[in-house]
Amino acid sequence: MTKKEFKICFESWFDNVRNYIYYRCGDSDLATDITQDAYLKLWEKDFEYHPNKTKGLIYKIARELWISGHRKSSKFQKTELSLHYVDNSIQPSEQLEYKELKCTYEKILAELPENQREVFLMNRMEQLSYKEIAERLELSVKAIEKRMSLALAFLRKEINHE
Amino acid sequence: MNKNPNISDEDEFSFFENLKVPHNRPKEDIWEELAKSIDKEPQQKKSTVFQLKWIKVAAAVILLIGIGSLSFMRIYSIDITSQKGEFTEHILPDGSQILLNAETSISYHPYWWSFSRELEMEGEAFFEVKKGNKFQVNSANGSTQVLGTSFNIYARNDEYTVYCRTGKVRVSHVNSTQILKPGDYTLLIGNELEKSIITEDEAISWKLGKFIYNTTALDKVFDDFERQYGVNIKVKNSDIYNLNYTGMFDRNISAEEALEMICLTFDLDYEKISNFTYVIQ
Repeated sequence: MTKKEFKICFESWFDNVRNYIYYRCGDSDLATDITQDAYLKLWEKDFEYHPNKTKGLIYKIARELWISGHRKSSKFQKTELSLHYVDNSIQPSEQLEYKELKCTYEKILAELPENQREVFLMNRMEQLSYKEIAERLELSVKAIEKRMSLALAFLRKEINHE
Repeated sequence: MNKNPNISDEDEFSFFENLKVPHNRPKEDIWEELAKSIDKEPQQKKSTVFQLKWIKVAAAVILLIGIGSLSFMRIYSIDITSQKGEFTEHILPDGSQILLNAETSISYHPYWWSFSRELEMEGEAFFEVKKGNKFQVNSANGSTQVLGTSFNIYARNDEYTVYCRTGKVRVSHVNSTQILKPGDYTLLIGNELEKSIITEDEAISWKLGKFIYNTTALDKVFDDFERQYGVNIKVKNSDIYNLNYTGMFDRNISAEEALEMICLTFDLDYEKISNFTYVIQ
């Protein structure tokens, strides 16, 4: 892989990978470190560059760094998400409403199993299609649909319950 | 469908679109750090590629040696043959014993023995098999499988008989199969294996150094005789082959004494032509 290709990899996927790890661990600094390490590994191992394969690969390297290095530690037994709502154009009263909604979602999403949460948030927050998610996680579209429907069922149940 | 009384599906989508993960460090900082560390490393990269090549070569060589020795183990075989008039004892790699009767041959793969206990045999032999995996004896007319036991196989010409002394033995010929328990005896009749009754002394008489015949065709008796004493017997009048002999004698007595015993039964005469040739009249 040339330096130019490496730069392309970084520009195209860094944000997505970092968010992906964040969805899994709920810790922004750790997600940043893991993603940086993953890119360094990608460079050191000198894999050949194929746009689609490399995309799956960088997700995989990052995921493995997370799973093997951190997930087991007691700090991550319970995930805590904290997201930012960034639209200022709406009314103050609505803003408050959205803030409440955000808190509700943060709480419920934190309870969702990791593999459902990652798929749900990749779809909703980054507007990735099921096919795009499937490519990145090297899974079938069917598997993504399954996780998505489980996540939706869970959310529906919890939100109505509130 | 509303998930929350206060928000529509559409709003929910735009709500999520406006949600962002709050990251402290901007992407640009990270690229700068990465760019620094990757500029440091060009030499190291070459050596890992180089190593990888050698690992591949080494793996290929090891694989070739492995395949080579495996196929040698598979193909290499030992043949053991006992001559006329002699018994041979052979111990297989797992400690199982084979006692070969006169004019019998076996063949097996000694280095493959631990993977598959299988051997070829023609003639007659007594097996004392150590317990273990399947032990299989193949002959032209059938095959016998056991786990650990002792048994006798007679496989000459068209004849195939098996006597089980201890343990359990499975005998098969084409589609016909018999399971033998201690004391059972089976013989090939046409294309079918059939159970029959025999005493242990009869079945493995040769091993005990005895000849035991129970209404046995005379030509078979003489065949046996030739094998055991390593002599030739010629018959002037082949009609006597229709006679059946019943009797018993010890292996210790000389060929002449034994021949005399047989001839006496049928009122026949024999003549010694040379050291190893007799003619029956």
